[in-house]
Amino acid sequence: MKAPGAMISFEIDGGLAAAVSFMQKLEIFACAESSAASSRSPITPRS
Amino acid sequence: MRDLSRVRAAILPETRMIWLETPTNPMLKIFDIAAIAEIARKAGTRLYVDNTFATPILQRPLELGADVVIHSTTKYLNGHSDVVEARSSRPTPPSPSGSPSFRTRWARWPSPFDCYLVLRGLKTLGVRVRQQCATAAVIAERLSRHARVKRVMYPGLASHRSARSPRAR
Repeated sequence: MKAPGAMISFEIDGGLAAAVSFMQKLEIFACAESSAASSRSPITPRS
Repeated sequence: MRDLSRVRAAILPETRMIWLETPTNPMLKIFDIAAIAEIARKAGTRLYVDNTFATPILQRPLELGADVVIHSTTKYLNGHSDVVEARSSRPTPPSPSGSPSFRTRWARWPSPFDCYLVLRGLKTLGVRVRQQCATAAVIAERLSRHARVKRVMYPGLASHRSARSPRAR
């Protein structure tokens, strides 16, 4: 690859509950049903 | 897939296809397309590469020896979240005798309007990908320093395993 790309995955301290809490507090980002959307779309491991 | 000896060992006499996604979703592992293409060629099988996350701006699997490249055009190629579509490409066109039957039975044809929307997105693909890469690098670096983040998977970080594998880049 010519560059590292634009996808990022990260793991939050505190497990699933912390991850869900984090996603519910997002303001700019909108949750997507899957990774199909190309906008700023966070997805959980359960998606 | 990083251990090429395991790739060779996984190929069976009846294997017809090796399917490779690089970078992977969601762990963003990066694999050596050229090396795996060489293994596929020697084994007499074909290498299909899902290049959706890399886009043709960052990675061109056909030039690295892949037989077929797949893109979900829904994502970067369209770029506007208003199309659900995928494309496959290969160096030579499908044979006239076999292809129509397969397409008639299995393939979904995109509408002219969907094609228009994807073509619209392709016009800005290079600009978008370059800016998204720059933005992602900043976000990944900041996340990696955040106290509540345990681990960040981003190939541009020195801590990412793929970043330490020159051939994978």
